[in-house]
Amino acid sequence: MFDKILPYLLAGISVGGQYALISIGYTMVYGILRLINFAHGDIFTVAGFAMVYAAATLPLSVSIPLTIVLTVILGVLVEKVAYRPLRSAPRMSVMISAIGMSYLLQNSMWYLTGGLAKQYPVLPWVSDRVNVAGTTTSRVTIITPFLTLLLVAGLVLLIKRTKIGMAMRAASRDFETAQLMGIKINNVISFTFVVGSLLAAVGSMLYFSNYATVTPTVGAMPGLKAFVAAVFGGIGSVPGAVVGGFIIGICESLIKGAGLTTFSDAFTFALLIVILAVKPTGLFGENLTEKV
Amino acid sequence: MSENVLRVENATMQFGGVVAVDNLNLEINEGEIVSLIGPNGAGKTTAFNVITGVYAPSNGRVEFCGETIVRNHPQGKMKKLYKGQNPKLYTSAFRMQAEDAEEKAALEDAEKERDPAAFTDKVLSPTPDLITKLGMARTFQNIRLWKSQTVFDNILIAKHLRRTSNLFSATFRLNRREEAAQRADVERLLEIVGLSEAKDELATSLPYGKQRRLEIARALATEPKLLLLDEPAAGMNPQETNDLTDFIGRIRSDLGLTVFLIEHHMDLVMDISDRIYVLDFGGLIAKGTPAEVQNNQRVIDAYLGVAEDA
Amino acid sequence: MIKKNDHKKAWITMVIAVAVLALVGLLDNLPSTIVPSMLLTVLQKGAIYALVAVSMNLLNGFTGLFSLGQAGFMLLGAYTYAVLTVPVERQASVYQRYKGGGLGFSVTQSLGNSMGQFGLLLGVVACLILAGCVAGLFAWLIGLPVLKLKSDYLAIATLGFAEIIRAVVMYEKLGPVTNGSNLLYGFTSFTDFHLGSLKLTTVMPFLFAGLCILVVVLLINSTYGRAFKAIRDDEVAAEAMGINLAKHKRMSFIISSFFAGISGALLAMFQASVQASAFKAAMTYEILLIVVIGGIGSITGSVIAAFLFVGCSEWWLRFLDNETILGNFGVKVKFAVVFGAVIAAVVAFGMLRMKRKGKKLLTHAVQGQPAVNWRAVLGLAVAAIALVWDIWFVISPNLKLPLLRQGFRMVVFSVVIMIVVLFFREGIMGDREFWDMGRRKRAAAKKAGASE
Repeated sequence: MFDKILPYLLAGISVGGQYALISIGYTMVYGILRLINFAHGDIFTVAGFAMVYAAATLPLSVSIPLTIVLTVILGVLVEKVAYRPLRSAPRMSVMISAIGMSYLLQNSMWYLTGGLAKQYPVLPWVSDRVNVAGTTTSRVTIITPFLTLLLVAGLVLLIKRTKIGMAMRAASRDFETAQLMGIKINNVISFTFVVGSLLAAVGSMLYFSNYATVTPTVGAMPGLKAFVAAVFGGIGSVPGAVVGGFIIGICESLIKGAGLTTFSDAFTFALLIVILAVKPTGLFGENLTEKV
Repeated sequence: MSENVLRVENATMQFGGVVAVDNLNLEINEGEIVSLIGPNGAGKTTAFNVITGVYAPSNGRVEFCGETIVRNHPQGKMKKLYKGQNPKLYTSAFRMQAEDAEEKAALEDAEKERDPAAFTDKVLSPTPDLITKLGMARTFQNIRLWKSQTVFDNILIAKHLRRTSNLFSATFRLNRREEAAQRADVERLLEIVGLSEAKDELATSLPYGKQRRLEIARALATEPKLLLLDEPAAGMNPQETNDLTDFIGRIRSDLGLTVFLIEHHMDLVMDISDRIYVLDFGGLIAKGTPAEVQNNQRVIDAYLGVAEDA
Repeated sequence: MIKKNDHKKAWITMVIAVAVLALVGLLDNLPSTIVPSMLLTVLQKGAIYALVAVSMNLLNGFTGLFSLGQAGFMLLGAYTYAVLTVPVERQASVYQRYKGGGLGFSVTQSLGNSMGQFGLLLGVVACLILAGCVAGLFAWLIGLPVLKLKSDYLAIATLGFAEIIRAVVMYEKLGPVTNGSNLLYGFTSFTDFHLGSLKLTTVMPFLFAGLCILVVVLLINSTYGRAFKAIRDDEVAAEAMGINLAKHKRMSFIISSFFAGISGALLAMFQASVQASAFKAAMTYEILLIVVIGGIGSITGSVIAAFLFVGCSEWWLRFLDNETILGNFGVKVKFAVVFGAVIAAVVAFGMLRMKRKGKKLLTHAVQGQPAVNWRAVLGLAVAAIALVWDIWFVISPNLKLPLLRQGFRMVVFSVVIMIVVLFFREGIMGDREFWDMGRRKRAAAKKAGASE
């Protein structure tokens, strides 16, 4: 029994870690801007393509950092172009802008790549097959959870201990007051996008090492799932997003293992609807009530 | 006491560890104008929100025209956190105290008569719309008009709750007579508040004082018995305040309404109130006629503060 | 007075509707040398998209509920319609992967056989209403837990719901009814309608969509529609004025889904086939963008934007997807002149805007210090480069038009949408309607007259 489940469990933990990395981007942006950054999933895809094109001509030692830098620049740019001009606009407008941005990124990628699936470069060592408890799996499966936890620990330290982290916490608590207290809110937001995009880039490397092909719309689904993970864990909470990511990844993988692949996506959303109906603030979220 | 329009009994509202309204008891009789005053942050608006169903109180009971409309006791998380009084009063654990059994039974019967749900854990917390439907309408401290609607439509929408048409008859215009009656009623209300001229303007384009009047007209459109006004004179100049004082008086005499208001303008309060309740730190510190309240030492202290070394 | 106005309005609406239908009918039956078939396609699909956009606008624009479930409800409608109307003799081939699949009857076929064209119409109408009802029923179910949620949570929950529906429809076990992930086809479509020898292919979607939109317009201007708008403007105030939030939100959600279901069925009729995999989130996004371009809270805007959107994506912007080489000198000059004019117009517009804002071309004051206006400089530089390229394009031989290739249309499209979202947030119509433009003008004039 257990050795039948094990490969799915391993795959689940691995994909869960990747979701976790993406979902941090959602949860941090939502925490500060109260915005679902629909384009985040596409930024993840762009990171995939950037790696494909970079690795085609450059050695990995150059193309990996290059990919990360490009992704970060894109993330910050998206915020500057699509969200910053709408700072004082109604929330619905900003969300529409986010959807428009996602649409633009997807269409641009389609145009640039001709809509064809691209082969993701094989990362040496990471993609090697290894044997774990009787099942073979790629090394990335094993690395992902550890790398995820390492990065998250670093991020939590950053948020708790540094000045910019303090500014981020202040901004997510009360945007306007933070601004009045002299926090340069635009810098804080940009920094949030830097962190989110960076983690998405790392997540994309791990994800595509497992799935091998990149298409323009490949990021939409993991993006949405990562968002569900963020909601599940309680939006605005980094540890929550990570826990949510792992839970969703594992559940999804087990459902696939049970032969219900069609429902693996549906399950995630069913979970979302259930959690929203039962505990809208998620596992670690805080309750905010409107003043009358 | 059958002419009680509103009775608030032991109402406590606690947010987390903060007691915003502490064991509030008040009653308003038919045709009265009653004011609720108190320093900023005393819990006046919270009391309003409890009465109108925006918040369910942590504990207490609200009675409207002799019927219990709100009833609650500390439950869930609040059970541990609750810092107010009488935590058991509205639960099945509550029993009347009396010398002998017979007297106790009599007391309990009387209590049952007053509150049919007495000695049970029954919780009543209707949403605000249900309370409004019973005949209680309110205005807001920070004006909450429907911004994209005209003055006329703002009042017309408030007539929606008295409709008899259903979705089908309303969509296919089978309710012409009702619609015409509603519109005529709105015209009448506009006349009363003196906004007929501005009826096609956007509500938000009105000057502040007129917006307040519009909000009152909108509340009146729901055909209330009791009108709750949350700082109706806030931000008004003396002239406007005077007009408002007359206006509130007229509403009572012409429409036969009972009015309950929160206000900071003492001229207005002392002018029109039959009785006044004074709230400080969530608790009632005084009640009585304007003259009584004016001379009450605790009220003066609450407003002016007490010297530490006195 | 109100009554008289209403009657007049009803008459005008009727006359316009009949005129439009007659015109569309005429277009349907003119030879294809005069009326390009693309025009008919755009008209048909545009009418259907107009209905979905209106249904979404009812929810997002008039009730203030940000829902992204439209594709899911369209899918339900499309499948309900298709399953009910696949002709019996074709069910074996349609459901070939599922032996004995299909319902064994077809509503439109049985009615059409016994009563001819009228029976067919009756059957289609019945199935359309059923399609709407199925979507509405699911909306009721999903609305119970979901409608309590605040704006963006609602959006993501409805989006998720649409995904669930898609997965369920594609489920193997439901194959005998839904045909799994395979195509459903062969059912009654618009081309089956004719009056004698007159084709009604384009008239039908106009008729159905038009009727549905009319109902929505009537609803929005009824007491319920006003209550929806009150909820949109201020929920707390609406509730305090006795409007039952849960009930009215549910109502709006169900009605919106009902019409989304009908439009899904109409889309199935238009395509003559339907497959669950087409009803993805991207479809909802497209509809949302139509609503935005038209103006959130404007029915007229949604309709105009739907035709524009479909026209651009199916027809007018198609050329962007084709690699084009302009060899003929005359054509090249024409192209270059048009391109140059566009650049000049953009520059002129920018300058005008700067002038209105009181900014100088190359310097503007920042805390008293003159500084370079980098945005203006950058804009001018780009314009200059474009102009140089324009001239070079004319003198160089056989140049391929740059950028044009598969996929460019969608890029241009999304850029246009972003521009609308960022700079013209009102959309085409804002929250105004075609029919109250005159009234507002009169009211403004009256006000101006009164204040004199």
